[in-house]
Amino acid sequence: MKWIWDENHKIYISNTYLSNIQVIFMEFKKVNITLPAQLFEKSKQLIDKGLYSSFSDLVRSSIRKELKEEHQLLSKEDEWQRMIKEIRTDLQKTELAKMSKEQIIKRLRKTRDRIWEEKYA
Amino acid sequence: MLKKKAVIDSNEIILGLTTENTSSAIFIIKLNELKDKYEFIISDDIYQEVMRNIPNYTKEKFSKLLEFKIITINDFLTDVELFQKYKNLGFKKGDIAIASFADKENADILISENRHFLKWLQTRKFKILNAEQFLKEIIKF
Repeated sequence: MKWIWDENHKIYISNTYLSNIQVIFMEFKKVNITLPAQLFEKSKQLIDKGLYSSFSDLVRSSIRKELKEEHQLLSKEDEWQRMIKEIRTDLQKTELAKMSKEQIIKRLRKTRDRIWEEKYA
Repeated sequence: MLKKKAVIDSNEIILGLTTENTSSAIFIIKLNELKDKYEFIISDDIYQEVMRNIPNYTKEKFSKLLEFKIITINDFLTDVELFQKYKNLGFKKGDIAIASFADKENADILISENRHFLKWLQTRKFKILNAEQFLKEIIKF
């Protein structure tokens, strides 16, 4: 894959396929950030070691990583809630849904006593 | 930060999965948010109690819910001394195993709607709270 950086138009051009040229437009925003001096020094060390091409590159990568983690965290939360809702929908069709809290507790007590008899008595 | 260990009783799980807008229902939904502060555990007995009371077509989904590792099943080996301890304290037969499990696990809290547990205040080993009391406690901190 070949990437061409057009400084004037700020356009990335990929010519992966000769017959299918893909153009991605990216708008850039310039931001000033304030950092503790120590954090800046440590960041510079990463750049000096060649892990990042510039300070901007380091900030961009860190933000992308943070966004990815946040997304994964949110998806897991959504998935947990979705699974619970699915089970609730299933259980709505059962007699458990028609039972009062006390009846459910009583039923579970019977199961508990049965397990006790099977395993420990 | 050291996580607190909480045992979840089967009644909280079943009530949390069959009702909406109750403390147990909110508690179950919130477990995912609380996993960084609490380690939620159940014994194999509690797992069996849930499985024996839900229909077959829901069993697989419940097992998938456990795959999130938000609630984990911990092994419990019969401990005669602990059983005797809770028997002497007047626990009902089935509850002896659950209390012994919480004790053995060094749990901080046992979350249950079971009144037999809730009226039992002699222990300082672990707190016994129902879902509503637990939710109030986490709001407080």
